[in-house]
Amino acid sequence: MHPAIQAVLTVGVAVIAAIAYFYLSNLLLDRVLFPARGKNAGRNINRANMIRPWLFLFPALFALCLYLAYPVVETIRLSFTDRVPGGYEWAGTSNYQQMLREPKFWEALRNNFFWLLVVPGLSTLFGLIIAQLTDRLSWGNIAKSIIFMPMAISFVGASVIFKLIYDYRPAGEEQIGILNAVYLALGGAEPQTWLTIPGLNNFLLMVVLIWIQTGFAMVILSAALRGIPEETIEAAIVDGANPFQIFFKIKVPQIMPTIMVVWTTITILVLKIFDIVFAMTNGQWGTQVLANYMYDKLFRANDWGVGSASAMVIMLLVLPILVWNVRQARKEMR
Amino acid sequence: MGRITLDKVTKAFGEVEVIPPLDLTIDDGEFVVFVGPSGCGKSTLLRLIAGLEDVSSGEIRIDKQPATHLPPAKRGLAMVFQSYALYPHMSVRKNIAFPMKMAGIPEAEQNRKIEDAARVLNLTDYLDRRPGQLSGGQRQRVAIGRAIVREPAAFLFDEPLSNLDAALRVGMRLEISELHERLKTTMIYVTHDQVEAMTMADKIVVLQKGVIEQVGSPLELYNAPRNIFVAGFIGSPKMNLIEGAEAAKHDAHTIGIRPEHLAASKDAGEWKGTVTVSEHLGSDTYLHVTETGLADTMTVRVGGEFGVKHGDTVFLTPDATKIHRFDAQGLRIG
Amino acid sequence: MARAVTTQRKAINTLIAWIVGLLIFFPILWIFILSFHSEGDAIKSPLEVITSTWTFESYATVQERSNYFRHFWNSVVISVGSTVLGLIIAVPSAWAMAFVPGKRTKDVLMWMLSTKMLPPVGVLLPIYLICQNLGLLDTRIALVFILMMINLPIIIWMLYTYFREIPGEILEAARMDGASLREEVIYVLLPMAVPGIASTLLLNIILAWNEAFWTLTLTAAKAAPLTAFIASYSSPEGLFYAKLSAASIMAIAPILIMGWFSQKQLVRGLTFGAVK
Repeated sequence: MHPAIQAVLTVGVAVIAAIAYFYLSNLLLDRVLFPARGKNAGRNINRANMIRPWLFLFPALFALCLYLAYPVVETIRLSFTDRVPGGYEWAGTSNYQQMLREPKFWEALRNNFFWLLVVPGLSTLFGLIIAQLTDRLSWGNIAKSIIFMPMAISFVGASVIFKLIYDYRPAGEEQIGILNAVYLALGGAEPQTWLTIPGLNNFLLMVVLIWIQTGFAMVILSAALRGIPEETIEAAIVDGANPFQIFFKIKVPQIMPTIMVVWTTITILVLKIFDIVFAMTNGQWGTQVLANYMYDKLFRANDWGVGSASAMVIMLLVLPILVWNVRQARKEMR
Repeated sequence: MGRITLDKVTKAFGEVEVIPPLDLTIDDGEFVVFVGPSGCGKSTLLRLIAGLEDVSSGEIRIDKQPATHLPPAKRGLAMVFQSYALYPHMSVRKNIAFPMKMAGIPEAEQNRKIEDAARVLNLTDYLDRRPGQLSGGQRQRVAIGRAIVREPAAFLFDEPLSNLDAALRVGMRLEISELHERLKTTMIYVTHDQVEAMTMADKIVVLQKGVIEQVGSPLELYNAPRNIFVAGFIGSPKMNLIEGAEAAKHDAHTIGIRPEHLAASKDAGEWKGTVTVSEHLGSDTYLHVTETGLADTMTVRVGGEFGVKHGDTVFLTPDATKIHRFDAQGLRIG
Repeated sequence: MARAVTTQRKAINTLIAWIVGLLIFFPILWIFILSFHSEGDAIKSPLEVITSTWTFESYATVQERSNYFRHFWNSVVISVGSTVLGLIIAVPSAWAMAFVPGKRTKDVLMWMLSTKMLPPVGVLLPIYLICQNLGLLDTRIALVFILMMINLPIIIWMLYTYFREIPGEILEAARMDGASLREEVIYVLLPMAVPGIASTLLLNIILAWNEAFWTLTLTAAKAAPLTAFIASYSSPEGLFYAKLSAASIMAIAPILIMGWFSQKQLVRGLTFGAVK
C-alpha cells in the first residue's frame, strides 16, 4: 500500500475512533452510570452533567499531556544525563557546565536577546505607523492586504526568498541579488556577502521576521484604530490638539492593550525562532540562536545532554513572558 | 392541562441561595406574571419550571405528575425567550417545525400545524424567510408559533417584549393577551415592567430576592399591597411613603398615598409644599413637591392641566380612604 | 464628519501606503518574475530579467527533478489530516468549556494557552525518540498526530471563542423543543458555528502547512512536506535561481491564496481570540 494512502486511512480510523469515543462515553454516562430514572434520578442527572464536560475534554487534555508533560520531564532528565553505550549515565550538572563554557552558547543567548529587543518592537512600530497612515483611507484596504501577504508565508519560504535578495556574486558578474544590485547602484564599491558580515547579518535575518510580522501587527492595530470612538478624536480636535497630539495622547493610549497583545504575541514567536536561522545561515558567522544551537547539538553533534540543557534554557527564558501573558488573558476573561 | 405546583423549591448556585424555599400553585388556564426588580430570581424561577435549571431541593409537579427531574422537553411546556432564540440558519417554517421534527410527528401533520399557526400569527407570507430578514415583532411571533405548535400544557415567556420598541410592545402585549383568551392555556410570563404585569395578568407574583412578596390579582395588589415593597413596586408613578409624626396620626410607622390620590390646590389644603418640577403631559400633570416636611419629594398626579411652575407653593390633600398603613416591619396594617 | 485630515493629506497617505505595500510585496513579486524565466535569463541584471522571454520551463524542471507533487501531497495530507482530526477532538472540548463552564474551565483554557506558547524545542528530543522507537520517523502519520497535538490548543481556543458568540438561549430553546444533546449539536450548534469552524479549519491548515520545526526534524525524503522540501532545495548552493524561485512559488502559492482570504481568521487565531 502506498504510504500516503496508509496515512489517510490512519487519519480516517482515528477520526472514527474519536467520534465513537464521544458518542459511546456519553451514552455510557447517561444510560449505565447515571440513568435519569429511579429514585436517584435527580442526583444522577446532576452528576452526569458534572462529569460530561470532563468526558468531552479528556481526549484533548490527554493529547496535550502526551505532547507536553512527559516530554518536558524527559527533557529535564536528559539534560542531567550523558549517553553512554547501552544506556544513560547520571551526569549531574556537567552538561550545563559544558554548555556554559561554549562561546557558541553565549553567542546564541546574546543573539536571542538581540532578536527579542529588535523584532517585536520594530514590527509593532512599523505596523502601527502603517495602520495610522492607512486609517480610514478608501484605497488603503488593498494596500493593507498586500502588506499582510507575507504573514501567510512560512518562515522557511520567506528565508528562501530573502536568500535570493541577499545573494552575492563576485565583482564583475551581474548582481542577481537585489540588495547588492541596489548597493552598487547607490555607489557601493564592490558587492558584499551580506550574510557573513557579523552584526549586520543578524539584522538581515531579523528583517525576514519583521517583514512577516509587520503585516500581522498592522492588521490588528488598524482594526483597533478603527474601533476608537470617533467622538474622542473630534473632542480632541475641538480642544485644539494637533495631529501628533491626537495620535500619541488620544489614539495610542486607547489601543495600548492591543499593542501589548501584538507585542507579546510576536515576542513569544521570537523566543522560539529557529526556521529562519536554520534556512539562511544555519547559525554560522555569528548568527546562532538557542533553538538552532540545540538542533546542532542534538542532530549534528549527537550530544543529547547539552542539547537538552539548552532546551531548558529556552524554556526558562519563555517562562516569565508566558506567565505574564496567561495572567493578562485570565484578567481579560473576567 | 396545565396546573403547576411548586413545593418548597429552592435553588442555590454554589453557596449563594437565589431561591429560598418557595411554594406556589398556578391553576390551569391562568395567566400568571412574575414581576420584580432585576436579580429578584424571577427568571431563575421560570427556568426551574422549564427544567433548564435543576432545583436544589423541593418538588415541581405539572398536572399532578412529578416533574422535578424530567428533562425540559418531557415537561410539555413551551418557552418564548427574551432574545426569541430563533434558529438563524433555518427558515421560519423549519423553525416552527423543529419541535415537531424532534418529536417525530409525521410531516403532513407538521405542515397542517405550521399553516394553522402561521394563519393565527399572520406569518403565512413569511414562512420561507430566515429570521434575520424579519422585523422584531415578526420574530416574536415566530417564537410564539414555535411554542404553539407543540400544544403545550403551559407557555413560559421570559421577558418577551423587552427587545421591542415601545409602540410595538403595546401591540404585542395585546396579541399575547388575545392569544391567551383564545387558547385558554396556562401562561407564565416574566417581566420587570409592572405595566405589563398589571395589564396582562390574571394573577401577579411579586418577587424580591427570590422570596414571594405577594400573590394576587392586579387590583388586589394595587388596592391592598401586603407590604411597603409591593406598595412601591406596583403603580406608576410610585406611591409616596411618609414616616414620622404624620404617620403616627394614623397609628402607623409608615403611611403610603398614591400620587393619584392626592389633590392639589393653589390656595388651601392639608399639607403645604413647594413645586420643584412640574411635568405637563397634557392628559395629566405630575408635580414634584418638596419642603412638605413629610418626605423628601412628594409626587402628585393631577388630571388635566394644572398651571404651576418651579418655586410655586401648592397645597396637597390626601384622599383619606386611600391611605395605606404599614407597621415598623413594613407590613400592611388592616 | 469633521476630520482634520485634508484631501491632500489623504492622497499623500494613500501614496505612502501603496509604496510601503509594494516594497513589502516586492520580494514575492521578484521571485515570481524570476520563476518564469530560463536559468540563463534569471542571472542577468534585474532590468534585463524582466524584458527577457517568459517561460514555464523552471516549473517543469522542478517537478521533474525533485518530484514537487509528492511533497505537495505530503503537505496536503499532513495539514488537512491533522486539522480534521484536531477539529473532531476539539469540538466537544470547546462545547464543554463554552456551554458548561465549571470552576476549572478557566484553568484548563489557560493551561492550553500556555502549552501553545511553550517552545517546541523543550519537547523535541523525547518526541523524536518516541517516533524513532515506534519506527515513525519520516512518516506522514507521525506528523499528522504531532501537528494535531501542537495546534490543538489553538483549535480549541478558536472554537471556544466562536461558540461563546452563540447565544445560550438558542441551545436552551432546542432543549425545550425536545432535542437530545446529539441533535442539539448536529441541528443547531454546528450549523450556527459553520463560519467559525470554517475559519478555524482554514487557519489551522495554514499553520500546519507552514510548520517547519517539526517537519524539518522528523522527516527526510519520503514524508517531507513543502516546507522541508524548499529548505533542502536551498542548500545545494544557489546556482539554479529560476528553479529555486519556481520551487518557492509553488510552495507558497497555495497558502498565499488561502492567506489572502483569511486575514481575519489568522489574526484571531494567532492572538488566541484576543483580537477579532
